[in-house]
Amino acid sequence: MEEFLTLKNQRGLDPVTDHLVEEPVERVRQIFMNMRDLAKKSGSNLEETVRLVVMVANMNRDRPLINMVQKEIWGNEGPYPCRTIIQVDYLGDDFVEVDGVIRVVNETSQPIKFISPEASFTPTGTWSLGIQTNSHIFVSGMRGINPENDELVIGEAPRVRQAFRNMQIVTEAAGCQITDAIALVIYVTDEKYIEAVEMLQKQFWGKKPLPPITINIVEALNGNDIVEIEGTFLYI
Amino acid sequence: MVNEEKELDVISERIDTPAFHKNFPYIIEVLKTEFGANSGNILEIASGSGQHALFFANTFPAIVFWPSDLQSYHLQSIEAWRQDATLDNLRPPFQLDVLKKNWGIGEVDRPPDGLDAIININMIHISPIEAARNLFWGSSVHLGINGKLILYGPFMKDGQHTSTSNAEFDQWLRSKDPSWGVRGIEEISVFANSNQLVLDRLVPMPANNFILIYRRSGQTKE
Repeated sequence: MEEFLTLKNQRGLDPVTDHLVEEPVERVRQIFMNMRDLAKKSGSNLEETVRLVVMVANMNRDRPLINMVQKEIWGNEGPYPCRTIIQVDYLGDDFVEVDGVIRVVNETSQPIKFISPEASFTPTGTWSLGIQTNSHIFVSGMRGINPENDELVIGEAPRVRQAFRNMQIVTEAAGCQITDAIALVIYVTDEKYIEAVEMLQKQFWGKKPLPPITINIVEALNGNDIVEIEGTFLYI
Repeated sequence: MVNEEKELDVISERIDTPAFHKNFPYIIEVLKTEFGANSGNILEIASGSGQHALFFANTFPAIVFWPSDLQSYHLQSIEAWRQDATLDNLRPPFQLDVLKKNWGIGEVDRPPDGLDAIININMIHISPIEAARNLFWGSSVHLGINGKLILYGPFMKDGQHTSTSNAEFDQWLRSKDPSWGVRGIEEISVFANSNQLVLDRLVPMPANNFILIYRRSGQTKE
């Protein structure tokens, strides 16, 4: 049985003063330092991070900061954890919060495998398409990017279909099916897109039971996209 | 020309429309060039009397036809024709409101996803423009790759009516309901473009009508 540490809504609070670190880059660094300390307490470390969900107040302004700090931690070339980055309106006077899923290593843990199938598109930031552990596959937030030209597909339904297809490419490269999902998180910028997501999901799942799904309506996604789909899979 | 949708000659619940007899032979010839001896599933939206679906099913025995309509009296007519015809490949009609996004595709006793074609005859001009918008949206959701959306009816071309009678018909439609009207090919092709459907064929038909055939263009392999 694999064990994962889930850290929610991590903020750039200085552990000594309990105040938010003032300078933006330093604040982002502080978040990851805090996460590193929490991981250590559970006998793990940041290199075992399988998923990050980064909530920012301003996508265009804040995403480069996150990429920069992640490069300091995970190196210029990675490999990086899976990541989904969303712009939200609930951060108050803060501008970034991070959720993290970190594997707690035990004697049976095999090294993390990073999944980057040739048939997939190429990530443009500090994140991996998918991560495989002993029995789980984590897939980053997938958008409707056409792997043939790395460009966003035009049209609502075609884009949602492509997002599921991209998720399928990653899971199949790791030897598992999209229908092996144990949890899906769907981010949309408007509730009107939910119907397309539900209808197209049915096409991918067929008669198989659907996994638990969380739908989040967010302010913005990277590249001004409309939908992003993140999945966790169990394979045996 | 005006009021060509008027329904006549009700025998039991079957509706026999004069428009059907005028346009059917020409429509079927175009469809033959599209489908030949193919098999598959075709959804008809706004089947009306049900006569087209009946003759489609008769002409293409390897294709399963799924007629649908919004109006219950049309559903009754389609079913009455179907009962008389006993064609294995003509499914019972079901209610479909094109203004709603959920058409029930893929559910029990409904057509499966990955449709080979969606046929829509004489509907777009007698419904609000949102119906056309949703028709393209739903087609991009439910058509299989290279699946066709086939429209028949009067259309404006290059912003102009193609005949005086179409212009009069348009005025009559708009006087009946301001949200109705003869649509422009360019106007509805905007919906096609935003749903990755491409206009494959534009076939002029008798009586100043057109058949427009849109195809769901490929993304990556499925």
